[in-house]
Amino acid sequence: MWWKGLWRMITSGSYRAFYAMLLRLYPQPFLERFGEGMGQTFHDLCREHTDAGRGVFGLALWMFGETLLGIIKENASHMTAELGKIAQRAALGALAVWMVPVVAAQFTEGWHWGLGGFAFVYVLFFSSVRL
Amino acid sequence: MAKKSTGQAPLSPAVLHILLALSTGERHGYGIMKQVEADSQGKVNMGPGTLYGSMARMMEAGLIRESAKRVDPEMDDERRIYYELTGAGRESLEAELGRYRGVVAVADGHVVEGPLAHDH
Repeated sequence: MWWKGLWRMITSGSYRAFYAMLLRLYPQPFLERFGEGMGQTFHDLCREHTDAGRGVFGLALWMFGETLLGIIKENASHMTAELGKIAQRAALGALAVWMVPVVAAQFTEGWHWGLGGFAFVYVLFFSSVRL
Repeated sequence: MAKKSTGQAPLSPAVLHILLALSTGERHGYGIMKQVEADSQGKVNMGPGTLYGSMARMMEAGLIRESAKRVDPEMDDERRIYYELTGAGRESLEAELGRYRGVVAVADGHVVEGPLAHDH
């Protein structure tokens, strides 16, 4: 069972390995850029405590909690940025599709929408998609 | 792509402390933490989550950058990434310190005038 391995890791003091596992929860670009440095910093802080003859459990627990908050924050901002990109692509895609009736209206008789009408319907359509 | 910092908005305490820590030279993550702790006389304890999260945003804003990856002779033989201030980071720090000086000057004026005298 994975949790037994996890518990063994925690109780045996392999904090760095557990911390490295925790770091994998960061968004990939963040992990690639800062994962190594964060692991080193965690290790340095643990070693500083050990050298001073202090226990590491409390420090490790605090850092796990603090890092977990950071993970939530980074994932939230990463997801927001990704959603923004998706919305931008959707808007451009919808605009491209919308060009078909706009162009067709110029060559079809009995179609009374002007460019303003198309723009208005596009805004309505895209706003409803975003909601 | 790095965004340009305006240098006008007030900085968060974490960002200010990191800029201050790097103002005296390049440092790696642990070095920044220790310097922040020393600068704040032990009052600010920044964990890796806060430190690296703030640094990611500061790099995006062009306030700091990676300078080198090398061994710290005072520590083990692991190679560490060092960070340093950019010109924009230095300007931003100076602007923030100027703002603080302004606030302190106003506060000093209030103390000299004796704000408690108005209470009676």
